[in-house]
Amino acid sequence: MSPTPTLPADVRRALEKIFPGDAAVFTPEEMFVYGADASRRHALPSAVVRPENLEQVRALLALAQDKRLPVLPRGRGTNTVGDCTPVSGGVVVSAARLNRIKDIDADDFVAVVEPGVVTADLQAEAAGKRLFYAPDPASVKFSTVGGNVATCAGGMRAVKYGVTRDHVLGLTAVLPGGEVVHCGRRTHKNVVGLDLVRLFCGSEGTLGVITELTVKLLPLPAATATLALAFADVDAALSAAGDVFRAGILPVALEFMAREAMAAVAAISPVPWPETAGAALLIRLDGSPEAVAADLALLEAATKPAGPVWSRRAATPQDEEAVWEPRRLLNPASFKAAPDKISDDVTVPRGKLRAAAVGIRTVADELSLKILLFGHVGDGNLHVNIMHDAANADERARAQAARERILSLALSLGGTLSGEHGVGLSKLPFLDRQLSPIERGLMARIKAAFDPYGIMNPGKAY
Amino acid sequence: MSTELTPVHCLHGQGRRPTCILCGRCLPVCPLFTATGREELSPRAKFFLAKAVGEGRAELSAKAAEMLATACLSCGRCEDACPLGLCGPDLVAEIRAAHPGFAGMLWKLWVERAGLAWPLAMTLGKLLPGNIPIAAVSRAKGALAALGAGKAPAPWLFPKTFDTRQAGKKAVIFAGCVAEHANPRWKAEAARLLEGLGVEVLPDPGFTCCGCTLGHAGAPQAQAAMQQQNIEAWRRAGRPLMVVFCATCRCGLRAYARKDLGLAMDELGPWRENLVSLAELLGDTTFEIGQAAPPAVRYHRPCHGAGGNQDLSLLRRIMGERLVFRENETPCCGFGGLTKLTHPDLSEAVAKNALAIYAPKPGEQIVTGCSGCVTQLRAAAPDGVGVGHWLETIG
Ligand SMILES: Cc1cc2nc3c(=O)[nH]c(=O)nc-3n(C[C@H](O)[C@H](O)[C@H](O)COP(=O)(O)OP(=O)(O)OC[C@H]3O[C@@H](n4cnc5c(N)ncnc54)[C@H](O)[C@@H]3O)c2cc1C
Ligand code: SF4
Ligand code: SF4
Repeated sequence: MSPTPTLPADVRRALEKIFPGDAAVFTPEEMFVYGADASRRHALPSAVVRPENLEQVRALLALAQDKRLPVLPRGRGTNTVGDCTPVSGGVVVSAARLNRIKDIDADDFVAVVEPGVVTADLQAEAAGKRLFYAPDPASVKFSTVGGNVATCAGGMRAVKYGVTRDHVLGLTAVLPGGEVVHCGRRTHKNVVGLDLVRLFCGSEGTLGVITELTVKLLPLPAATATLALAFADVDAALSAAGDVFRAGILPVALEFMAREAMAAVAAISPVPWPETAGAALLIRLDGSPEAVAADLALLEAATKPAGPVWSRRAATPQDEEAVWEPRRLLNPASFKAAPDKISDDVTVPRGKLRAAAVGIRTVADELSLKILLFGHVGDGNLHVNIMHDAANADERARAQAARERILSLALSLGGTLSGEHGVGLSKLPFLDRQLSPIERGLMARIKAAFDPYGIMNPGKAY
Repeated sequence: MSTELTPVHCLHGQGRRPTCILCGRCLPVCPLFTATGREELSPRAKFFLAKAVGEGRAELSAKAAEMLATACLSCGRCEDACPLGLCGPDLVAEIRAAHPGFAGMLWKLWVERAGLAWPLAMTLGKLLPGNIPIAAVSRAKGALAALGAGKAPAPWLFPKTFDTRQAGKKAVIFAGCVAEHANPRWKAEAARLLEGLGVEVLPDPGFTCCGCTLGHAGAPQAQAAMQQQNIEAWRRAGRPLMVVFCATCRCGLRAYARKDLGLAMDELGPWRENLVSLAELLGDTTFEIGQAAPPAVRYHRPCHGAGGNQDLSLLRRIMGERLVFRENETPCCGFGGLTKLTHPDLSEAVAKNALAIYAPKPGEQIVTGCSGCVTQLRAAAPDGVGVGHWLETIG
């Protein structure tokens, strides 16, 4: 086992005092998994703690600042960019025991939760009161609200409802040194002072440890329906996607898959679309049953001109389940399509999607690589999986080259390196392509205001 | 959720394992993780550490071996959730099988703390060296008897008319370790019901444990021997119906048909078809509701209920509105695997978590269709709450 970063005996004793019993862990075997996340990078932490209350977090951050000990907040370690890898050792703070839903208020339309609550649990509890917590990353059933906020997770519903940051009203966080800050309010509007809540959204654990969140709830939409369409090629599908908005329809979800992605799913499960299809769209609507029925008819008319080769309407939960299942299988299917993959989630202005797709196709052809292309095209967000066999040096080099070219392509179209997964470690080397030294300097100064000694998740994000 | 086609977590060591992608889907389903918040006990942690050990990047220290080989409830929920079908119990069984010292350690543990897990230990005793100390057996038996008596529900369902569609068929009862050793009344009750159905109950042809536990215990050879003994017994009895009333046994027995255990091609079909649950056989049998009926009964779905909610449909029909079952509230009881022996504290934490979710009021009952779950939930339930196999509600 790679040696555990050493922890001075007095620090260990102090941690044991704040976190008695099994609330602190120090053996390499027990800490092993806490050094990894879905990026599949790994480094051992020096200690793992599991706070149950604010007081413990406060005491920890006072100690950590005093001893200059790195601190890494951890939800469920499902981020894909290495945000939870303790590259310089330090204490992992697991939110697994900070998992209470404290309040769901049907009059104020807010929920108050601890950061370790699994997002789907919050949604289910809210739905019981006919309330709706809108953000829904594909990892909604196994990632936490705290992790979602700290990465500003997106998801399929973002096209209509926005991303996680659009639903966070307030939060409590502990800063290095142990100071407790309460940012935002329980109100749906608030313009007093700088927006510190938004600063925490997408901060990737670099500013402080969030201990409580107040999030916005909406009335639960009464009905949903989906139109699934297949087209001969990518361009036809993306032009249909544009037609949806031009027809005045704002769908809840507008998902896209290109041929290679569809084939990957077809390899592990039966699929409903014809074999000849070169691209697919899944378009979901929500609202009152009457509005959904009317919009569904509009949607069918709006997507006709692009010439779908196959279509299916799904207006019952079972039918919807059936058309969405292939989309859900895409992630596991991608792991079976080749031994290794490089994943990026570049995002471009909506109007540049077709150009981006053509550019990515060209990269795949020129470098003879299989690239799975799919994504939340309603947001201009493209998931690009560059499939390869890393054991083959030439293929690995081509995959790296493809990645570089695709990131540059996205930027040249006015897009961004990441739409939802964040920077972490994996996009850090490319950051200067998108941010100028002036902006990075400003970010460093903002971080220093929260974290003067740089102990919060060091070496990540910006 | 499991379907009839997916109860595969009793198929240890078949084929190469894919690599864990660290996605985290298995965390919220793992009862050990949800009850404790200890991520090191999660399936992801086990697969990740085991892989590093396999590649020489981590040492298989005593601590690592213990974590990997002793803390798992064999509930199979990770396998159902994992996009790659990774199965915690398979991994645990492999590691146990690779550690010759493991059986000896279990033996010692059993003698020290058998307690509630003694029926399981009886089974294990068969593969372990030495004789079973009488003192340990009687101590364990005593513990179980004392515990069980108070909380078993008094019968409140009485057969009115029997469904006789199966009349004239021959059947053997596969009661399983817990019923054989600890709750003989269940088997007697099952025999009585079968008689009512007009099914001819043949004498026990010499069945032994289904072998599930031995597989989990990392004793694949002993497991295979037991499986073969059961197949032989069934053949000797003339391949009759095999009636089970424990979900875990049914799951274990079903898996025989997927492994090469010497069942001939033309036996595979009859093995699967003749393996029937008692609930299924009861068909449209009707029951009268007696005085002792509780206001509410919670159905606890066993993790090994894979393939058929025959129990649930029967109970819904005969218990009516009283029966409460919520698809989103199906905690594991914490009995499974060897955790009861190796980590009684973890097993208890999981049971406590299950009862916190059910939150039964005094006078209410919890029924299930797995012997292990009954044993476990009975021990953890508060006073005044009856816990039993649904067979015990029938008089
Ligand atoms: C199969 C799969 C599908 C996914 N789908 C999507 C998707 O559709 N959209 C999307 O945006 N992402 C997606 N992701 C990525 C990932 O799920 C998200 O980034 C998620 O928000 C991470 O949540 P987590 O609880 O796992 O946080 P972690 O991965 O544990 O942590 C993420 C970051 O948040 C910080 N953090 C966590 N808790 C706190 C806290 N209490 N205080 C301060 N900082 C904290 C951590 O330090 C870290 O920097 C997916 C991942 C997988 C594996
Ligand atoms: S079988 Fe159950 S207890 Fe064991 S690792 Fe899988 S989910 Fe956890
Ligand atoms: S669900 Fe499977 S692949 Fe994902 S973390 Fe768990 S074991 Fe690994």
